Amino acid sequence: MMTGWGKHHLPIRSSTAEDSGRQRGETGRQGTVLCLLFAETGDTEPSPVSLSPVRTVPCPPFNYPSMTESILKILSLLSERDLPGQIPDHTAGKSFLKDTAPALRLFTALWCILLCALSHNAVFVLGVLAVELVRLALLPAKSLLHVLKKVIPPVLFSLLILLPGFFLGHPRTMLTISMKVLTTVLILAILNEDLRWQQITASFHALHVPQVFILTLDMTVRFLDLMGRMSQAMYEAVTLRTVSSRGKQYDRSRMKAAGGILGTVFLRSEIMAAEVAEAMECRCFDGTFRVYEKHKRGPADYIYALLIPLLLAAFLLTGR
Amino acid sequence: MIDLNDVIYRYPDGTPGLNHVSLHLQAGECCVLTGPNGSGKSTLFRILNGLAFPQSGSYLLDDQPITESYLRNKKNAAAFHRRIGYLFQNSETQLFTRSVEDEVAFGLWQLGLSEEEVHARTDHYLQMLSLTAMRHRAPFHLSGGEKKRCALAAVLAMEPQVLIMDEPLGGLDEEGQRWISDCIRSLKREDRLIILATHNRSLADSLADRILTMDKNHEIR
Repeated sequence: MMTGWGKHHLPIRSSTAEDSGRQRGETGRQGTVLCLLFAETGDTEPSPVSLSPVRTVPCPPFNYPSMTESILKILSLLSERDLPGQIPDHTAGKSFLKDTAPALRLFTALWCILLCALSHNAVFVLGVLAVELVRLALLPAKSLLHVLKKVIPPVLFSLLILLPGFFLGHPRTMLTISMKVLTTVLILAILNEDLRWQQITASFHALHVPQVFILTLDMTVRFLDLMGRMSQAMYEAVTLRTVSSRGKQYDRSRMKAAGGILGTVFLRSEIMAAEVAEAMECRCFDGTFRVYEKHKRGPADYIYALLIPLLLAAFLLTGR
Repeated sequence: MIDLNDVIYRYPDGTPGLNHVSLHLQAGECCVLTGPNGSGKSTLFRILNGLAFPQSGSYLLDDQPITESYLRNKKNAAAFHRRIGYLFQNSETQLFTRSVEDEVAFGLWQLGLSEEEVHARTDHYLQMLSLTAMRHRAPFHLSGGEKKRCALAAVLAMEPQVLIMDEPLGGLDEEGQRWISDCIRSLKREDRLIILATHNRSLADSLADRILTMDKNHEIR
């Protein structure tokens, strides 16, 4: 039976006795997709691909729902796909950097940051900054943009914080600190582009960070990603199932749904944590954790290691 | 090898999990457990893996009673878990390290094997499960089938005598199902006890030496 309900129509197959629950679920989903297509194209007739027999139910115009901004923010942060583990390996084509131990690169970066922080001479910081800017310029466009997005906000923030100092007669302080912030963040951002998250955490092992801490850090990132995906899927499910018109009541029900999503994610995280603990127990976990590392020191490591005394020499020569 | 005698298990809220389950399984046997959802298959597996303990009845592994107090001893627990490998229903939660190779090596480090042995076994099982090309990838970025293979490699690397698999074909596409089925068939040739739960009738028929069915009353028929 076909019934007109206004501009947008949602064809849903009438449920029959032989429909299994799963089939009904699939049909519902298909119906929703069709609804979205109609809303976008302005079609009023059901698509020829729709299943028959069909009946139509009202469907509002294509509007993604409005949950409160804060909850949306949390969900979008959770579903952030650009977690460190997913950053592509930009060092793929750079054999020298690829051959260098990640731990050495991490240590050199930290060493460089330390020297910049201790330096009272702008020449040293400027020198390091110049080198880092050259490295930045050599990055592919996408990575360059990625780095700049990370670098600009903290530098602007530090400039803003130190702005009163400029008017109170200490303009040099503002420039020095902002420059140091720029150098530090730039070093870390480029390092983050060069190394994958796994390599960074593996490097912590070489720096004698406790292994359980590394494991916890890894698992936190991994589960943030998992929870993000989960909340994203639930958010989409809520979005697709909402077909009522806008209004206060509607917003309230959406709020409840958003709260439900966070609550469910929390409960699921608890269950998952228990499952992970069991999985670890089944594999004889006794609190010790080791990283699988097969890196053998090569000439690239020794050449790169020269940077450490060179940086120190430059630091001392420029009068600290 | 495995003896369960009149095991009764209830969840903390009082819901029955297992009702008077008795079972005797021998090494080299392949036992397939079937039954509707919620009949207690996973609960039985949790008990067999020492993750839950029955309120009454006994569980013996090679005549050694497996109790909570027995597994509280770290040495006993390590020896026990070394002998029993468990492939979880949800591979997602079974994979927790930063890379596929770390995942496979995790249990091996725990066993206290030498570095050479760990590397050799890791390489072998990565190759066996066709995971060598993705050894540096993060496990949680793999596809469903790859995750299952990775979890299986991690379990097999520990070379357990008893291999328990909870719905190994769950959530896999046709090719993935075929791949894992073939893999289980090849494992069957080895002299180890395999217990698996599945809803896949053809897999059960082709693999099982014995098919056990759990009913809605949480009993084995």
